[in-house]
Amino acid sequence: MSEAPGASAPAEQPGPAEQPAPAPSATPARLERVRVTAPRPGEPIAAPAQHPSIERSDTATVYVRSLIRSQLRLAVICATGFVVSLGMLWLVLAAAPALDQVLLFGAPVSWLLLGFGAYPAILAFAIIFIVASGRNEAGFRSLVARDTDTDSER
Amino acid sequence: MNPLLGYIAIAAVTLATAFIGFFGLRISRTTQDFYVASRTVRPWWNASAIGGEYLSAASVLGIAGLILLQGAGGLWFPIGYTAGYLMLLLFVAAPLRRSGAYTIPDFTGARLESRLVRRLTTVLVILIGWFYIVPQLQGAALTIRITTGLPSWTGALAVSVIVGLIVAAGGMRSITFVQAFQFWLKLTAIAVPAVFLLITVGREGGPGVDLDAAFPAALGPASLDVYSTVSLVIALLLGTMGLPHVLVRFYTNPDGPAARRTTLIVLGLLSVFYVFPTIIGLLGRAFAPELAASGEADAVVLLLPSMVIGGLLGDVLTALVIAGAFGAFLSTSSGLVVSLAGVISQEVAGGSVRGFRIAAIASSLVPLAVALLLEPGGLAGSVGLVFAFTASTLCPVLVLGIWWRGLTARGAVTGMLGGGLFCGAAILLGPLLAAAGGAPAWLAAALAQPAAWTVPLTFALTVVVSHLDRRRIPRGVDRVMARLHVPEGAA
Repeated sequence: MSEAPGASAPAEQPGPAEQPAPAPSATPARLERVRVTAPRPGEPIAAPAQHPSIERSDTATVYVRSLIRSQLRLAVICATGFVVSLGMLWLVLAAAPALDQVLLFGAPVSWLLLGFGAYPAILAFAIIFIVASGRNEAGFRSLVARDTDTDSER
Repeated sequence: MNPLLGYIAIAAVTLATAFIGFFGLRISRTTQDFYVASRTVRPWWNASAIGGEYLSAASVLGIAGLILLQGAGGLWFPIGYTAGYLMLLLFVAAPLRRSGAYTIPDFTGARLESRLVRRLTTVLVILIGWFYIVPQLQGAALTIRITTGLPSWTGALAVSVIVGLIVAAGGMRSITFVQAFQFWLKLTAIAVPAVFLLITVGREGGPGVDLDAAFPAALGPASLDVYSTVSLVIALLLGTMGLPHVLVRFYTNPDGPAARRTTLIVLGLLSVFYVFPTIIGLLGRAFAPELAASGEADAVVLLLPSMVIGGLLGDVLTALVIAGAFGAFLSTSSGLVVSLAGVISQEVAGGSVRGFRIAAIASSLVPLAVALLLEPGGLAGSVGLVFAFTASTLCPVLVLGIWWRGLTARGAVTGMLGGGLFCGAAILLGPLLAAAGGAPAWLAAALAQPAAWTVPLTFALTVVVSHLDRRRIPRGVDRVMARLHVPEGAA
């Protein structure tokens, strides 16, 4: 227990928000002890230094807002798609009570479909979202990069 | 059943958990280690840990019990538990990781620049955490009673004490290892018996099963009550993203895309896991219907191997299931205690390690008192109500906070209070009304599964009040929104 940092004393180190997350490939040496304290209540979590693009111009704000809109649209589409497909499965089961009589491995197909049928849809929508959201972010990155280039040419 | 098996299985799981916990302690040094494992946990480790933490008594014991008890209605629970992570992936995973906050109150308080929001979120997180631990302890009580014959309270007491000690001693770094181990333990503990059960039943053809009794059309997928099912699914889909022990795990990813990849792996792990409780539940309907009648439905996972297989193999499988179930109580409770202790110590003790330790002990003792006082309900059912409460309080504020600039502190407070009061009242009044009888069916259903009306109500309250209050949109909103959504490396 004695090795734990005596962090009960208030420390002046910046809160965790200001610490850039370590890149996955470059884990810092674990020997260095850094005292970290909780962010004070109400302290903003945004660290402007980390995102110069945000402060730079109104164009950047516009880009960020359009990125947020496209990510939200994507999330809503995927969520709706999943809920609709789940609802369709249920409707089919409700509309075809004859499925109760069809046996597979000794159990009614309707029960098996409801019990095991939803997971492939869940995984499919998850993969679609991850690929598409990555694309949105790549698009944003190239927009910002192009903008920086034009700025420097001027 | 031989009580010795129960003792051996429980002792083995506890020792393994404690060993990994204390092994992890050796590399747990800084405060950041204590809280979020230095944010360097790899996706596979982290996904296993999330799975280990998430699969609670409700998943390991409750789902099979509910399928046995309610028929096809129980099949919706594992779907909802898994799809909840899909919603979490879609709406909160990456932005929340990028927020850089440690806990939900950190996030809401900073996003809305309001101490009041922070306080209220803290209170809600603590309430939700405690009430989520209670069913774990009740599951432990049931398992101990069924398998060893000891009085119920010993199980609840044992889990609280073990969890409190491990968390206070090791923090989250060791908990990550513990949780990852627990996931694979739970998967083995339920998959191996399920496979052996299927083989036995398949080879011997099983004793003559009356299909109409085992899978009656009246309990089939076609005849489920629409309102209750929709409401349950809403609660499970939206409740997951507000669970404190789930969210704290996302801070341990190195960046936003890693948070997404982790969630995808979690979805895969959960999809594989939930196949097995479902199989055991369906087998239970065919071979152990008497358990439902005697009110011991939640014990079907524990009892089915010895009932169907028997002999030495049956005993070994039973011991395995006991180990997995006990692992579930330990892992979910310790995950919850970690996140609660993090929240409490930040709020009260300024985030110190000593405060974290004291808070960890306190967070494991309060639910113990509640669990000992309350009558145990069905495991999956009581966890479902916690999901409804979370979906009606924290979920709207998180989702709107991440995606809508217009959210204000007043809107968030009104939404959380309104949703919390209505949903809480429904949860408390529902059983009373059912006991009194004479209530119209629609009212009973609305109180038994409140999410379908309390979640839209919370969203509406939050949006309307925020809109009326739009002059008080936090000044730093554009910066915070950019921080949440701008991908790493775009500068």
